[in-house]
Amino acid sequence: MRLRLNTLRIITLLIFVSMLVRLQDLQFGPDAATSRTQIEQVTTRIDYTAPRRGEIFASDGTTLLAASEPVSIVAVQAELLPTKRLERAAVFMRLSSLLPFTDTLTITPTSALKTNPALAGAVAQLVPILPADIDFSPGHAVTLTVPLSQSLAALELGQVYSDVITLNPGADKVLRDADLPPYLLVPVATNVPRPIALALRENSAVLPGIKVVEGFNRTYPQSPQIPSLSHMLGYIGRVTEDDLEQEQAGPPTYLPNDIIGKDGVELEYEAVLRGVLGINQIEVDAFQRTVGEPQVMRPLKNGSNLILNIDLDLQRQSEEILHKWLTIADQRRISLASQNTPIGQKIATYPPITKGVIIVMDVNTGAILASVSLPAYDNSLFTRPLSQADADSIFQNPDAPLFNRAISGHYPPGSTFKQFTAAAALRNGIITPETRFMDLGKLVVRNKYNPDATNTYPNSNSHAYGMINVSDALMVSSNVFFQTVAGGTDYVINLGPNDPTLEDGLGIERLHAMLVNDYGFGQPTGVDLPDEVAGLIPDPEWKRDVQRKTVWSVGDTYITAIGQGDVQVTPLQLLRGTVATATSGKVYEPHIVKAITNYSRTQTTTIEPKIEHQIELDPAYWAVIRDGMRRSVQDPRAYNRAANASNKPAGDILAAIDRFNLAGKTGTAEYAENGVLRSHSWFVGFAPFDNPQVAVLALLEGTGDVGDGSGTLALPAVVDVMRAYFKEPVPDINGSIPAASAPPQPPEEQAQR
Amino acid sequence: MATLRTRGWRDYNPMLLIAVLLLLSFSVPMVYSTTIGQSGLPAFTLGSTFMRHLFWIGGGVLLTVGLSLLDYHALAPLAWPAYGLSLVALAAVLTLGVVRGGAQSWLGSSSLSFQPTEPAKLVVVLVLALFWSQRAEDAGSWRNLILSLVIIAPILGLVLLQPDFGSAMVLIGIWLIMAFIAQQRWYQFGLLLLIAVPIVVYGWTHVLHDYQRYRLMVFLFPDRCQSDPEFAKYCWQTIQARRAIGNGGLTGMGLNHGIQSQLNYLPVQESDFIFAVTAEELGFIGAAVLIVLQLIVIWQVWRVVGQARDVFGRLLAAGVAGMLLVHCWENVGMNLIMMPMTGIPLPFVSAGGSFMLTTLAAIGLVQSVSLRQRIWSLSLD
Repeated sequence: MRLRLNTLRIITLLIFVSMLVRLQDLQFGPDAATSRTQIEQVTTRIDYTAPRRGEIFASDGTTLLAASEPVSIVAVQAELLPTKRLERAAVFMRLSSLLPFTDTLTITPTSALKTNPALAGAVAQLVPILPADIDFSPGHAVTLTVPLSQSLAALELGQVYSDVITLNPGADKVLRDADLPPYLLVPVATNVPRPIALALRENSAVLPGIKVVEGFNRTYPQSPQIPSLSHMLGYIGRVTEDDLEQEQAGPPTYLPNDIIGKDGVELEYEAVLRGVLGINQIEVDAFQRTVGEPQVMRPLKNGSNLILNIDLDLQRQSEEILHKWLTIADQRRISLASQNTPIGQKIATYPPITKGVIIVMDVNTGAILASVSLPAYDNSLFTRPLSQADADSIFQNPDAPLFNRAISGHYPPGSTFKQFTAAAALRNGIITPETRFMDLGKLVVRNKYNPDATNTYPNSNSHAYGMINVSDALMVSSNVFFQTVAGGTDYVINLGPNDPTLEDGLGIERLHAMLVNDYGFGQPTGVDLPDEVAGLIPDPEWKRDVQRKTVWSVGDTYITAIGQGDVQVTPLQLLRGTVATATSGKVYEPHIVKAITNYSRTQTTTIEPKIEHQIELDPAYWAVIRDGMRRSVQDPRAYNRAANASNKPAGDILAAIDRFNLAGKTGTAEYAENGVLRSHSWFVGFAPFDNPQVAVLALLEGTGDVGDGSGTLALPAVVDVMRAYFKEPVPDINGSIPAASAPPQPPEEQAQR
Repeated sequence: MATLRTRGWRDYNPMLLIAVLLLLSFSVPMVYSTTIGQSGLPAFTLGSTFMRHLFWIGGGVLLTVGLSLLDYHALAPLAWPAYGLSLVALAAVLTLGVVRGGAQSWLGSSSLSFQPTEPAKLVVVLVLALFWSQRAEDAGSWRNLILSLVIIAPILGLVLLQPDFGSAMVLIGIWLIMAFIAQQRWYQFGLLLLIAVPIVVYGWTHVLHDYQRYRLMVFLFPDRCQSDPEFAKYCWQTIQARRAIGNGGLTGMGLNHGIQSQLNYLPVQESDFIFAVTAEELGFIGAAVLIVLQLIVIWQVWRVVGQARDVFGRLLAAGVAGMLLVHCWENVGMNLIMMPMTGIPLPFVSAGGSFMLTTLAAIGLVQSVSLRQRIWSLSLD
């Protein structure tokens, strides 16, 4: 008896000692530290709070161009979904009963519909009309679309006949298509109405993994009406792998389901608009419920807002005006193409005329008040899933509507360039305002190496203007004058014995230096938009290194001086150069954005106008250049006036030019398209002449020879924009003034302008 | 009556009383800590788990005192009726009972439910003690062995049907220890083992479901939790318990401050996993104190086994020792991942009325045996 009792006592002791040994092993052994880290990982979660993306306003500071609208978003967190397929489907089907997802169910094999009348009956109740082409032979499956509002019935069916019916909920597809890590919330429906959001929250117990979060939806309220805004605003999209790879080590700034600016100011000002992703550490219990207060690891900071320099009315009207003149140009193309003349036959090969640019700049700040590049696209299409038709119209369109011609297009500037050649010649003392040269309508130049060969450099229509000075040359747009000034008369053989000559002239080096170093051609302007191109001012080095052609000839200098040949400028560069003329040498860094305000719009940081460079030139010389440009549109003898005498759609354009005191320069710039020599129409001008406030550029691609495009399309377009700028009614395509379409402006405001 | 006062109480086991009272006082803050984080009634509300726990402790202590005053021989006539009642209750549980934690072992509504398995353990102790004491002249016979098995078989069968493997193991443990103290022979146990092995193997392969096998095996192969996804589904409890204990260290996170317990990572933490919670919140020191107190209780019961005046008393105490020992071993062993996951409570500490009353009644019985260890102390009655 003693022995037996003592045996049991020893067993008892052994059991308890083994417990103590095991306890100390678990608490102090190698696993203990692991336990602690595991607990931290499991019980603490990092919770991210998305910042509200900053909004974008027009120059009035109140009209929203890009809005962040608060919306309820239904999101799925895959790791919290049930793991069993049917339970998972049940969650999604319940979701479908509240939100319009397209669910399908697959019956495998279809023969079950024949062999099982109960199943067939139930299916018929759900989907009354089965597809006619069901193959009932063994091994075939059929997929049926569940009618809206029948998702719960379909779920029941799927549960009862789980052996033959597979449910394919629409929300599941959205989740899988998003292809994001399971710990992230994947939005499956945005803009969820409040009652439905409430219903989902209340039923969260039967919807594990489904979360309703408050988020923001990007909208571009003005873009559908004024698509040209899209080039400046840009658009947003989900971050890409590349974006994420650029992240620096440390706390993330983007999550794989975040959106990021892809173009325009959305991209350029991403850092400002984005704000800072809030990072909280939260403790969760075994049911993933948040416990206690979150610990803020990085505070959320909402994005700042942008106020653009863009005047919405002016932008809208500029777009309408460009549309109007492109339409007129195209009507002319059609009408000319029907004529059996050499020009008509050439124009018959032209595709429809659709492309152009208008930019409006504030002469005193370099602010871009309006910028239209056609064809445009509607960036609001990018705020929701893009339909195939919309995607094709944007991405497959040969006219490349995503392309912002104002800053990404580069063109030969043609005669608009002569103002810069004039400035270079005046500054380098090649000419004075009084210097005159003989314009015989063309320069015939002897080839330097082959005395028998000659090249001819004519004026437009080889019109001869006689003895003219720089102002006259700008007025009549004489090629001969500026070519003479730039390249000299050393090789010219058609001058009379008493005509003035010029040895060497300005030369390409000095011309190039002035254009690049002073006007900033050949390099981006620094405008606050992405994808700006540099353009090109050729020089002998370039011709040797890049083009690998023969050496630079005087002919190259001649055509460079008149903005032809290899000269490439962006419309914005050209407008900025013209503003320099208007302001006696101020070369601005142009700005789309006027100011940045914080989220609550209590603090505003104004982006000050920035003069990148001041061109040194005698003020009197600037005045001469400006006067030449004034005369090109205001002098009674100016060709541009005669050309517009019967330009009906332009309205009373001559009176308008005089009223605004417009100065400017046309340009017809030749280029080759598909082997056909064509030309662009330019006009760039500023007003009022004696106290410039605004500068406007118009470019209509490929319209130079469609009935003198620069004078009768580009110039009237600029005048129309001036009308809009000065709050005057703009004539419609028939030249008639719309009857009191806009309420009359109070006189004070007009005076301010 | 003078004898009663001066001599009778001399044989009361104060160490047993003190150890039990210490365990009970230990249980109060632990049950509080394990229930505050859970949904349900606030702790200091009538009907909360915590308040009910206090109520059961109170009732149980009264039961201890009452039963220690009562001569345990007076229970002999009640043994068989109680046995019959237990059978009825266990059968009723199977047909009418409520399923909790995978086993159908509860009677009544959730607010006042009752688990007949727990008192049945004590009834088995009583019946077996009576049986072997009445057949003491035939001690060690095959007949005794077989009849004792016949007595326990229906109860064991009904418990296994629930299925409640933990309690079944307790019943087997009780029988083994009592049979051992009742002088059954070593070779009889050996032979029984030979018969039992094929039955267990058959049960393992043919009766048990996969999930039951997995649950019983998890503690043996903790590494498979990582490597075998099928296996991993049953690892939650072991993983969480291991983390909780590992998190405790020497002095613990502090009462009410265990991460695992306060965030409800431990299932049934007020009962099955209260030891892991103790280890996390009070550390090695608290958990070791808990183990040592349990050892003292069982040790004192063994002492009473040695002191008992007659075979009936000795077997009663031995049965109680067996019941407490297997409960401790299974519960603490499960928490420490040394034993299968069989959700049974820790004596005197876990919340739960049926078991609290049963164990405290058992302590009363043991004290009654202790008090009446001498012939003359019969005068107490």
